[in-house]
Amino acid sequence: MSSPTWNRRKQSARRVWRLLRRDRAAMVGLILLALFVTMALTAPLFADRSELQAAAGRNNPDLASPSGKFWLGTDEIGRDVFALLLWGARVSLYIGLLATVVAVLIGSVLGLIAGYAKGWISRVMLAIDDFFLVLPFIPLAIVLALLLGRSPTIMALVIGGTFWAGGSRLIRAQVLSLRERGYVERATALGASSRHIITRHVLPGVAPLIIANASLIVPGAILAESTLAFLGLGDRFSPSWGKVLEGAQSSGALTLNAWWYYLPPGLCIIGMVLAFTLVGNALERIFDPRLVGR
Amino acid sequence: MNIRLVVRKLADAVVLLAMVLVFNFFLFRIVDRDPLARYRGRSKLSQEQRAAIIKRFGLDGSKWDQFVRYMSRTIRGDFGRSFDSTKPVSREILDSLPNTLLLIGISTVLTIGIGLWIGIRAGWMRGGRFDKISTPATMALYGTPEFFLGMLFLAFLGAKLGLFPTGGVTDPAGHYTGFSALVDRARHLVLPVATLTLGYLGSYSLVMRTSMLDTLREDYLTTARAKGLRDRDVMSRHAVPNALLPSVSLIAIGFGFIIGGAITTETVFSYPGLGLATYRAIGNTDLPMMQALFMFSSIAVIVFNVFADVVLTFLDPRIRVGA
Amino acid sequence: MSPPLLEVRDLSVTYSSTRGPVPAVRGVSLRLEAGETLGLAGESGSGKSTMTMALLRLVPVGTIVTGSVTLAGEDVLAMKPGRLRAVRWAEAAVVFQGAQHVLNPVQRIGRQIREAIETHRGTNKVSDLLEQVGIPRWRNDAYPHELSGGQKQRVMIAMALACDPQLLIADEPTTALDVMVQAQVLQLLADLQRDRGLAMIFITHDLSVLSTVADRLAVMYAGRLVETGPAKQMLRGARHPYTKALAAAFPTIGDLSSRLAPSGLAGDPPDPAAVPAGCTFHPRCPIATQECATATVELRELSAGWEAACLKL
Repeated sequence: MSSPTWNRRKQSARRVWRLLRRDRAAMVGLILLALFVTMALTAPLFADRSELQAAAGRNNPDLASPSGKFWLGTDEIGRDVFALLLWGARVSLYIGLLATVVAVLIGSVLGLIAGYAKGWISRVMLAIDDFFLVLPFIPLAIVLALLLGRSPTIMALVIGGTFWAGGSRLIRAQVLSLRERGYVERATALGASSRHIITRHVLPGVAPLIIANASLIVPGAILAESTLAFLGLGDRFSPSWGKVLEGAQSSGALTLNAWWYYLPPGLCIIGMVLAFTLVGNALERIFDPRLVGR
Repeated sequence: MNIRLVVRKLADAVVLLAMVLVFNFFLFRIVDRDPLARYRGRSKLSQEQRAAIIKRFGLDGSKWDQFVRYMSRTIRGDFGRSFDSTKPVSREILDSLPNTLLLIGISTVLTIGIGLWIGIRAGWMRGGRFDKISTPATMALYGTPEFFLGMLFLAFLGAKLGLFPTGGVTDPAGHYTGFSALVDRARHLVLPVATLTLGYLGSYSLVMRTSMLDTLREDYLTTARAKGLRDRDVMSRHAVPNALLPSVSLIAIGFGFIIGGAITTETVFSYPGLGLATYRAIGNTDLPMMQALFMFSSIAVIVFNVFADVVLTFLDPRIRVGA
Repeated sequence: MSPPLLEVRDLSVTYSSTRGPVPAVRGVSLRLEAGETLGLAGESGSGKSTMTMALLRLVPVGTIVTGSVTLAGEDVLAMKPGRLRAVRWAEAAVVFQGAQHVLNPVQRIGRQIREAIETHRGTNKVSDLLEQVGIPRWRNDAYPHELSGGQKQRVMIAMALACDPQLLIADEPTTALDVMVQAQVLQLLADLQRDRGLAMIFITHDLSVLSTVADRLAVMYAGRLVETGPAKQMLRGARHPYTKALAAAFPTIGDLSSRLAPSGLAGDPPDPAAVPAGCTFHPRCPIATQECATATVELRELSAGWEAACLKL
């Protein structure tokens, strides 16, 4: 990329950071995020991965309440809940982020095409978009997961593959409005190829929107994953927070008042979703499309 | 009333429905590629036995034959037999349907009503005490998986404090009749309804609040105030009808999620409805059940969407056919 | 001499914004007799709309309004909310700029007009009002987006007259309209005023429009009045340098000499939050001298009923 463009990008990035810093809600979100990322990264320091396996809990008391040895007690097969929580951060973050990347990729590409292409292609894409918006997500995701498998990566792909619909619509609208502004016409008149136009003119105009949209898809993806895990999909021995909750539900922890089993993972889900939502809302405010190009 | 527009929306819905049916067919054909794989001693099966099994699952003939058979059966209401209970799927669904309708019906009305009300009030008096309390609260609710909420209710209000039953739709030991039977049912509904309602009102209230804030900047509110209207009337007669418009489309999309929420909520409370049936079907890989449930939930969402679209045309006079 | 319909004394309006207090109107005084038309002119941001909104206390929450506003003998700024709401529209009504979103897009215009009548328990009929402004009766079922700019403006006028006010505040009623429609609307306003004996404050940034409409003229700059006086004489020969520049910017139709005169003023109006010291206009003034940057400038009477705020006169 040429130097003046690169400087401009750096400047806008700095401006975004400055605006973010002033937003108190966004800062709360960022702090929470830092907390969870730290949890995920430092998991091996507190507990070995083997503690997630069935064998790990064999010699431990089942559903034991928190103590000096087990900070958050144990689950119904004796595994250390604190370990489950820390490693769960990894799984939840991984799936949430990967699903978002997939959704944003599909949505952006389709949105760009739908906005840029003319005529029937655009209309067909709108119809497909409508179709995916209407399909009830959970049943569809369940079926796809049954079909394709239950590993975290597959789950992420399934979620991403069903979540792209809303974003593509926004991007299409933005592309259309950018086109109206004449950048595209001028570039075409000057003889630029479609590819050049898309990457140099349309993409930078759409990029902020994509970023803001992505940060708001992450919470949805995390919630979706936790729901699917709760319903039985997902890996029991590398559990996401949702999966831990499923364990709590099916083991009767609710009626046995084993609060250490279900309260922490649930609160963590809420915390992480809130974190991304707060930051995402702030980014959306900063990148308000009404201000782009002024 | 714009009849042409309503007809057009209905036509769109029918097309969407057809797409769903086709999609459903192909999806489950792919999932259920080889029914023979389910049989343990399959290597010992004779040719006739294999053919009989394939025929039983409707997998004989060309793809087109299968599709026609699928469509004709679906229209007649024949969804095959459950792998789990071997009862006809349509029977299972009809048994569970009323419970779920009750749960989703009440919850949807409550969540939309309460959610919108909170959003209107918080947005109108932005920065006020109500806004300062309700907005973080609804944000937290928005980020809460509804089943976690259900778990908390069950654990604390149900198990620990014993205020409400912890599951089911009626008390099997109670043998209630008449009015007390109604009360029994109601008691069993309280926690699931509370779960679904609170679980989803966050998004409605936040969207409505944003919408109100956008509407607050409009000039026609100044006109209304200049006419000598009370603040209350400016809000209800001018701000709200306009602020509602973006909410309506999002309400329609939200319904798809409420359906998903019904699945998890019924699971938490062992509430015998379509949601619990879905959960069981997943656990047992009961394909005919899942296929039928998938179709019905899609239909429900489509119907709700059409309803919301039609409502929108009543609320916004600027919408025209072909716009 | 009968008391004036409207008497404004030392009115100041200060917005509260995230950057601090912003004085949009600074010490404006004027009077309006019944049936009189006052033309209020100035650039965007001069405070003319703000001032007229403040007359009925139609300012955003948190805005500070000081001074005194006496309408038909009552002190508007001291009114209780109930009395204020009764006075609004019934004593003084505002004709907003129809091209903006001043009409509720999801309500039929007939209903919006009727709302004004019902709020004040008036007796007028919507169809009569529409007829008076030249809109066919059957249009009362229309939604705002189905009407043209000129029609929307007429609807606003009809709505403003719904409760038979004594004072009409017309805020740039012709600005977004094309010339033909402009002339029609101006004629309509003139006729209505004559028939009903209305007093009017006509806000605009285009002085040429005021030549036929106004009895007296008041020119605002950066929240202050810089010149007031009899309209015809002022337009023919303005005294304050700002008024001269404003008049030159809009040539009068039929007056060839004005088309050839140099027009346009360099620079921009000052940021209300940071006005220059001394005479607010001095940075852009063609005849400014050293003392204009430091001395305080007040409105001084030049002849009967004609005042200007300039040290050089």
